[in-house]
Amino acid sequence: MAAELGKLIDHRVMVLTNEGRTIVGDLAGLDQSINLILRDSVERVWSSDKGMELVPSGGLSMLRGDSVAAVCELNADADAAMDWEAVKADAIPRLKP
Amino acid sequence: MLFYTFFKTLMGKEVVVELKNGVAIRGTLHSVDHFLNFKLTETSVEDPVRFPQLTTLKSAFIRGSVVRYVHVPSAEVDTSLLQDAARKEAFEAAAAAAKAAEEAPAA
Repeated sequence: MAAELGKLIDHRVMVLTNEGRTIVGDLAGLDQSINLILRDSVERVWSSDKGMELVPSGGLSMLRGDSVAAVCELNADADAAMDWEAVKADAIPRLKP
Repeated sequence: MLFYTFFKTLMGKEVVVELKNGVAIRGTLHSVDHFLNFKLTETSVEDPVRFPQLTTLKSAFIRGSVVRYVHVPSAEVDTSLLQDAARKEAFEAAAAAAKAAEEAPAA
């Protein structure tokens, strides 16, 4: 399984966590338990009244595998073309209690 | 194990993976592993109005532990064969457990 994820190294990915948070960053490394290392990561915080807010975490960040729900490759062109600050959406519901 | 093999036969087909929070992601099943982690390509989110956050994804690796349902194309599934295989596997597992219980006190 890690082999499939390994192909995403150095790609811009969006990680969906069990809390429903979305973190975008360059995948720098991972292991068998899907512990992830992200470079230049920013959390995208969603709200239905203010639009999206970016919260940079700076440098490298490590995400523990058991809190990772999905690792998605971004379509860079489509993502850059979106006016995310204007997108108003409810936060993604959490996956686990 | 049976369902791992089952999902392997669906590789290349279009499926919808529904997560435990209600988010449903449609895509082509690219691969599956023993944990029933799914890798989908050409992904799109099923409710883009509610989840615009996920509309710019190209592929998704979804952890098996967060999956609630997988919607598969019914034309690709031989349900009677699957049911027989599931029964057979359950029977074999029960037989193996009974054998282990029989041998355990002697050991």
